[in-house]
Amino acid sequence: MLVYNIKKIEMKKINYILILLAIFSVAFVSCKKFLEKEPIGKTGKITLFETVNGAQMANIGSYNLMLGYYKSYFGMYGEIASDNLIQGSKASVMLPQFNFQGIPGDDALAVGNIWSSIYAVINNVNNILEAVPELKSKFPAETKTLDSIYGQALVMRALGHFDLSRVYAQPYNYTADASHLGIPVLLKTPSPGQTVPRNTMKETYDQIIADLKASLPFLQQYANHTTQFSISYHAALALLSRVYLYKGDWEQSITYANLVINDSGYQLATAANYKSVFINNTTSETSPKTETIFKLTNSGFKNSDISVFSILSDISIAQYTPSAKLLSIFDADDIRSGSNAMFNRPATGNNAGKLITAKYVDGSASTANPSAIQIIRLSELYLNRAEANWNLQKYPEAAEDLRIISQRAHPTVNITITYNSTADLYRQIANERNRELCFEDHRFFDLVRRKESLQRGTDCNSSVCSLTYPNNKFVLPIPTKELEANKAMIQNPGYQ
Amino acid sequence: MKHFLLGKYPGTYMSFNRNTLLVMRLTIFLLIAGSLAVQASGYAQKVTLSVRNAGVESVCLDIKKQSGFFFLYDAAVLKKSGTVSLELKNIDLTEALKQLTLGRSLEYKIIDKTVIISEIKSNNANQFAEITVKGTVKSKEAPGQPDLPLPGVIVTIKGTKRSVFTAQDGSFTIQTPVNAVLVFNMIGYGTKEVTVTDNKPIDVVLLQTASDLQEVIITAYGTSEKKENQIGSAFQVTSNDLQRKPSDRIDKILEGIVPGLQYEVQGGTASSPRPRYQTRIRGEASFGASNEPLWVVDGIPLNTGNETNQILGVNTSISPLTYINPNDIESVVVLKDATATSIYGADGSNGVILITTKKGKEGKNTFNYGFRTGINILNNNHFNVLNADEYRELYTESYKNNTSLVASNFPNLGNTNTDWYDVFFRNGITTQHDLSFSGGNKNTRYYISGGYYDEKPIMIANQIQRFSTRINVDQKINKSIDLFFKLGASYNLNKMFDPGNSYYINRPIDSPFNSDGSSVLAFYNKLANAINNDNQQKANAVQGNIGGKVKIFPGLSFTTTNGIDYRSIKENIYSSKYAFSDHNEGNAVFAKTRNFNWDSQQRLNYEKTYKQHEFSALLGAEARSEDRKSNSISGTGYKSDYIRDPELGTRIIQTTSGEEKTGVSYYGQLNYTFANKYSLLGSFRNDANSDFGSDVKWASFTSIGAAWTISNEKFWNINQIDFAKLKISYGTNGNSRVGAYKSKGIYSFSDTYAYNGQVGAVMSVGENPLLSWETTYIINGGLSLGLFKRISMEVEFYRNTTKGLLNDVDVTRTTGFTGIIQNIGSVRNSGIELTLNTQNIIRKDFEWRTKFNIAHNSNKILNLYNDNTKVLDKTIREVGYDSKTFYLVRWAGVDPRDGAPLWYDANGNLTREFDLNNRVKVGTSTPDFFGGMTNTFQYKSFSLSALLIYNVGGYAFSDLQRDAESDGRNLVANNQSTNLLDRWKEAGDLSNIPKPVLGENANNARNSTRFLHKKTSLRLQNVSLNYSLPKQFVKRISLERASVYLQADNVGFWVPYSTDPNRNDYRNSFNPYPQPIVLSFGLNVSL
Repeated sequence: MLVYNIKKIEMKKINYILILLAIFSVAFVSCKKFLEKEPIGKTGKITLFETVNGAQMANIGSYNLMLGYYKSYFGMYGEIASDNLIQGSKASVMLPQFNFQGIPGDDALAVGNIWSSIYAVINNVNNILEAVPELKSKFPAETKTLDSIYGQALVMRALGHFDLSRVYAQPYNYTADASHLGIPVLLKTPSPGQTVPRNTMKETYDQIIADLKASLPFLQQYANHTTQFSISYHAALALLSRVYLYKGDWEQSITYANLVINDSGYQLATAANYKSVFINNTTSETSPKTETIFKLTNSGFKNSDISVFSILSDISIAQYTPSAKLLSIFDADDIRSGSNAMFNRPATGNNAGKLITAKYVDGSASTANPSAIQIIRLSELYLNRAEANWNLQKYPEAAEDLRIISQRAHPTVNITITYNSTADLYRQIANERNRELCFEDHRFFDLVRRKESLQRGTDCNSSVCSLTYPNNKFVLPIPTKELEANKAMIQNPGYQ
Repeated sequence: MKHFLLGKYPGTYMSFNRNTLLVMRLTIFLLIAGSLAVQASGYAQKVTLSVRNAGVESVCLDIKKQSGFFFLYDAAVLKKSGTVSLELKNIDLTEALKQLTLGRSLEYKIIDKTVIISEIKSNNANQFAEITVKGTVKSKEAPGQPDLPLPGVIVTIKGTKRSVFTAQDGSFTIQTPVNAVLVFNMIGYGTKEVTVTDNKPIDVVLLQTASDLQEVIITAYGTSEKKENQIGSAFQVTSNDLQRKPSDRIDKILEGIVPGLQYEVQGGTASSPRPRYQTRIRGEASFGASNEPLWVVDGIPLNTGNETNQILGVNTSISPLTYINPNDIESVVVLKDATATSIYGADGSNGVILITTKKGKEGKNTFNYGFRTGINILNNNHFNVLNADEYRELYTESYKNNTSLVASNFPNLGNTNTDWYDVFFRNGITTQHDLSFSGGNKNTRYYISGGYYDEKPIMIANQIQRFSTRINVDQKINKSIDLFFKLGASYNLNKMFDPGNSYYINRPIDSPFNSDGSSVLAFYNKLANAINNDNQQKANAVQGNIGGKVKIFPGLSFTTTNGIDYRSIKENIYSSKYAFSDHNEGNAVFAKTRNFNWDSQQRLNYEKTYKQHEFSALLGAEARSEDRKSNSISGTGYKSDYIRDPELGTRIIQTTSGEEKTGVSYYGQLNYTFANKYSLLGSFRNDANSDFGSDVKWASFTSIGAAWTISNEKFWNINQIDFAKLKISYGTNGNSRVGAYKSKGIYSFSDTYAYNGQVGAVMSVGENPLLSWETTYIINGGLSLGLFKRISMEVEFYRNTTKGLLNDVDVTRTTGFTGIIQNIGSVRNSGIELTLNTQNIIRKDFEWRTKFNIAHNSNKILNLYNDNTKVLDKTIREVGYDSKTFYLVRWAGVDPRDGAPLWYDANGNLTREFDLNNRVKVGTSTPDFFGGMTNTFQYKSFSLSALLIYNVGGYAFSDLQRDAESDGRNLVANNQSTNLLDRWKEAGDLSNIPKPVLGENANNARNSTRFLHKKTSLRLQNVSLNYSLPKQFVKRISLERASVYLQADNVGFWVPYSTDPNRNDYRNSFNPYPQPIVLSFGLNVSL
């Protein structure tokens, strides 16, 4: 019956059907391609990493995100939680951290922001690290560029993990074998819905050190020409010195400090050009470079409301100002002291009469002349080495590094280091470290790392003026949102 | 009964083979079943007979020889019939058989190539005297309309199988014994019996039963279902139901007519004259994806905006549904269950609304003109605010109540008295012209229309204009090819001015004008914006499709449909130097957005009716693409207010955006009906879509359903129930409408992501390669009844379980994101719907008909991400509860001692402290039941119809009242609700409004049950009175038809409690933006 009827179909009709079926099949021929669509002004992850250019842009984007967390809550936490600051009349930002009242529910505040903004960096660099090996095999001619990106990404991942561990985990030496809670160490971005447990602090540091060391061969080929605005071979070395100091591995800290200090490519700033290290947002391409090993530039951006620039400086109302305790450790001749270059005392405006740090903005920050954030500079390595040598009971060596830093700050005085006891030397090193690195997000982390208690000064206007080590308050809680979404997460003790 | 087979070997019993046995069995079955088999016609075999007094059997043999047809009969019966004389020359076989059996109690049937001759069984064997009866059958039309001839009615002599059909003019002729009873039967009209007494003509008028069984419901992709055997849940609204509703948009007209459909303003905002509206069918399930049904115009999906009906690329979202002229619409079908929607796959789970535009009819060239004009008047349900004296009094009292304020600083409140409603609202005017001509011949049919809609809404400086046209052409090329072309285009001009909320929060003591007549330049004076600013959108919208149908062989056809949905919107905004917001500068914005969507469908449809088996099948494929590109340029800083060109601003910002989305699908459907009693329907669809994760690109959906028309069973003999049908279906469909590119892991590049002067790329949307569509599992069942021919009742129940909800849920921050869209959680919507159509009174000159529907839906969250309860602004999502459950602190009134506000704490104790920890679950916004009722009265040429919409249960939160009943908190800057006139004044006062304290009482106006209303209400939405002009008069002025009508919209609003007319309750915040009463006059003529 069917056959019979089909026979009746005219040839003409068959032609029509063939044409229609042809149209039909053409429409579906490139089905797979047809279903892949890219948004405009944006691109899918896979497409971005199909070119070297894309990997470069992802690298730039990662720096952008790192700048984001360094100039925001994280960049202030090490100061606000410490004994360096008192609150000004209009303080609102980070009051929970100033008063040690941060709660897990503070998702939009420092507790949640530091956590998620640093993991955003780790996600972005992990994407780079995942993509670069394939790109290298696709574009062998671009190996050098890709190696550089790869090395930088490894250092950013290490720094991200290190910064997270400083905020959310007790210091490395909190337990003898560092078996206490660290932070989730991520070499690959977890998929949504995946549970991510915390690693121990030992595992955390092992990965940080592994990443930094792994970056060295990739970065070394660029040792002589990378700007201070991005991660160089020496930045990786310098960070290793810091990480080993935090870990209490004194020999290694000294080894890596030496590698930078002894490198002719870098020199300490002189007393004369000391201030310009902080004020001039330029970078010297010529060797030797002065002082800065790695800094993040804010070039092209306005100062946001919640940033280290506006909270600690004279741009608006300084919400926090230096404590009497901090000011008391400077002597009058110190070029970093209140009467000299590194502090302002505005005569007019909101902060009239108060001392304000000049490390970020010397009252003249603008889009054209933005401030930079010092991540690591040469002076720190001298102080790292001093502290490590002290711990190895090499007191004269320790005193010598201390002298170098102090002498630079006192160009008109001849400095000799004298100490009544080794403990006195230790205190002097700690004070010098604070004089040198105050407002650069070190103080609180240094106190905790050195297992010291927090003792704020006589002008303390926080609800908490002292905290003894060890203390649950020395770390921030894991944000509630993280605990809700990630059932493998464990809250820090004292915040349950 | 002995049967003889006259075959190849006459008389040989042994020759029965399998086939003939089958034929016999079938024949016997048919005879015994006694069903009214249609007499065969169209057998073109011609026979020539010339016999005198021959036996009937011998004539049969003769015919057999000539025609090649087999004969089947009882020889004894034929013998009993005596002899026959015939002189026939080259006449049809059927005619010959008719002549042969005429006047002999014999009847014949032709099945395949077999003629069966049998005896007519009569209940009174003695009555052999037969007469010829003629007559006509007509159907009753509306009062004032003549009855129309009804062809195809089966006229049967009761107790026999003798029957005839009525002809095209309704006439019939039948041989019948005297005193026999004629039974008139027609699907959709029921049966009627008339006793034959003599051979006078019998004229019968049949009335369509309320069940309207003749209706054929258009379903997906060129398929349809007969109402008699319908399995799916598809509710059809015809152009008659849409008539004389004064809306510019089709979605609004469906409210109250379609059971289970809710049409609501989105978000409850009180501050836009152009709010977004949403249509919901059987509740809503999704948290993150669209809950809007899929709108399909002539088979091509219509883009109605993104997942929240937002039109991307412009500042004001105007629904594309307003770009379609409702007068061009022939029917709207709302598909709800799985068998109806599975075939729309990953876009089907919110229901599908099919819009079919008008077509020309063969042989009838008509010309129609319709005109309507009306005024829109601000109705008295708007939100009431204080007048200047009341404001000053409240201010003074609140000032005194604030002990921290010094009496000597009391400001001068002046003596201005401004009614800001008067400032911003006016009487609007709507005018509409519609012209159409349609018709056609055997080969070409056309429908062409032009429409003009012009509305000046009640808000000043607003205007809506639509110039629309539609051209629908159907062309038959030859016997097997039909082509069609459909094109709807419109140019839409929207002038806008948005006063925000200033029409009710502006203080009555402020004037829009200075004493010199110039405008006050202040943030609140939006009147200056209305005078000086421009804001308009010009939209070109085209929906069209072209295609054809090729009949490959009888029953099988190939159809191609290729359509576009195109929209280009230009938006010009200028904010003047002389208005407050950009004073001294001016700001001009020019935005342009273009959507181009195409959709191409190729399908094979097969239809076959074999005896009582009706079979249809569909197999199709579809490819589609959506593409949007938008750009805008914004300029600020002008020397002169006349420049208004964004490119000439001193500071210019340009932005671009866009997205593309593609999909391909394959689908199929099988439908089988046996004997109009048992129906089965199955369908499937496979969808692929560029939005989903690479791991899960293909989705499959299937459904199956069955219906049993019990009243078509032989055993059914309940006369009171003329129709009964049971149906059930089960299947899945999906929801993929979550917005473009959500699965991919998106990197964005812009200046924001720069570092050290170089542009960087930052991952802005987290990756979820597992992202998939939501799947809804739908069970739908129903019972349809026709009662007393006057009542049609349809009950449906459903249970829609949506799994894998698309939801932007919190993820571990270690992903670098706070939320990534995932398939998490499930929600169940279940409910029951009832539709009742009744013919209450049908008289010659008067009719009263009612259409009533009621629906209940309950919503329950079955599953959430990690089962974490999530508190949103005023609601909570918790497993086991409605997803729209309000979570609020309970208001406990006012302490009569000192006028302080009181709340309940979580344990139900009174407290004077407002604490968010005291929030409890307090009811949902889901109503207990809702629906509508249309009553139509017709008296001669007058017809009156009224639509009532009701809602029982459920709560609504009024943001309006929260902000305007702040007990002094917002009083300094804002006007307040008149409810504050009933405030507490002195100790002992029993009031629900606390003591007002200027600038204080911060907690009073925080979210609490104080501002929660019960939604129970009844609205008289529409009343219209139509008068058809007398035929004679109309003819005299060379017209075919003419009618005039009056109508009113938004007429009444009742709540089951009494509130002072000058106070605010649910009525005043129901549709927060003030609604107009629309009074119109219209006229329709055709020739």
